[in-house]
Amino acid sequence: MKKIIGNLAFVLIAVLVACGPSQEKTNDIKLPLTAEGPFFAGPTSLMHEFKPDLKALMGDDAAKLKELKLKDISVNLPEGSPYSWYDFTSASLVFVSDNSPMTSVAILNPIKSNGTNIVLTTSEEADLVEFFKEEKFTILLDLDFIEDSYEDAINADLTMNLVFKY
Amino acid sequence: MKLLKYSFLLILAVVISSSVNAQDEKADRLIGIWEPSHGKAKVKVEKIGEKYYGKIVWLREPVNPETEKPKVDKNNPDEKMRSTPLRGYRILKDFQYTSKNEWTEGTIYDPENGNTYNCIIKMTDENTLDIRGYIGISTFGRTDIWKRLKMPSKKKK
Repeated sequence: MKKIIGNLAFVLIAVLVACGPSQEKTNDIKLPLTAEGPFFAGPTSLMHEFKPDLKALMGDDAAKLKELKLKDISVNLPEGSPYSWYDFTSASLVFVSDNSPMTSVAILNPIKSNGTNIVLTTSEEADLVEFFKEEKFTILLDLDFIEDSYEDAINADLTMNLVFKY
Repeated sequence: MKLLKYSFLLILAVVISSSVNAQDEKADRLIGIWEPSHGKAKVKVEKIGEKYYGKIVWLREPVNPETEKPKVDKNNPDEKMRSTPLRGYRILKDFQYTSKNEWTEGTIYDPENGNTYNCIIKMTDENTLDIRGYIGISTFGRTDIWKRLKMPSKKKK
């Protein structure tokens, strides 16, 4: 009896190991984000319409993708920007598409930065597989302006470190 | 004969195009600023892609009296996202216009308990929404009435 239970447990573990993601790749994606002014105090969305290419990111393993998480996210204000991070109280990153539910993926509140760069805290739960299987989706960076601003535009550079499990 | 055929195709294209535009105009009536019945917040509905989203743009009590800091989404099920500010938070997500003055397929988030509910929005008149949140089937749920916020018109000099 003990032997049967032992064998069953071994088979169950083998099945679970075989079903779960076993390998991973990481990749950095850099994207420009932009919004047109004027801006009023409160949250404003900087946007980028992204067309993912899983084949380019993962090669032949693209079809085996099981889980996709964000490891690190940083945002830079480009050199010469009329803004500094002191102009905003918080930053949050959201993914939006026509076929998947809107997903909040990272947050920084309050903003703490000594220079042109901020690093956001990433969500543990957000799985981005469905977004990256779509033809396109929109990335929104919500910046909370402290006060009204009458600049024509705001630009920022987003760097995402992604972990692909397959 | 060819001319007749092309004329017919042209008319058909115009009819289809104007019908699509009319449908878009109907769907976009949801865009605006709305006030739930409790009066604690104002929600701005906007369109991103083909779907509609509503974010909190005003709070009657924006500051948490305990922390003396702006309120955050302290009940978010994802612990790492609990510092997200409530002002700017999208509580209505992913609504699509069906017909009959209804937007469906979306969800509503209640920041007071961290729960997300399925939701149907029905426009009963141009300035009134029935917002029905439910779990499972819409029979078992709760409806709240939201009113459109009318911006004061500028006085002519």
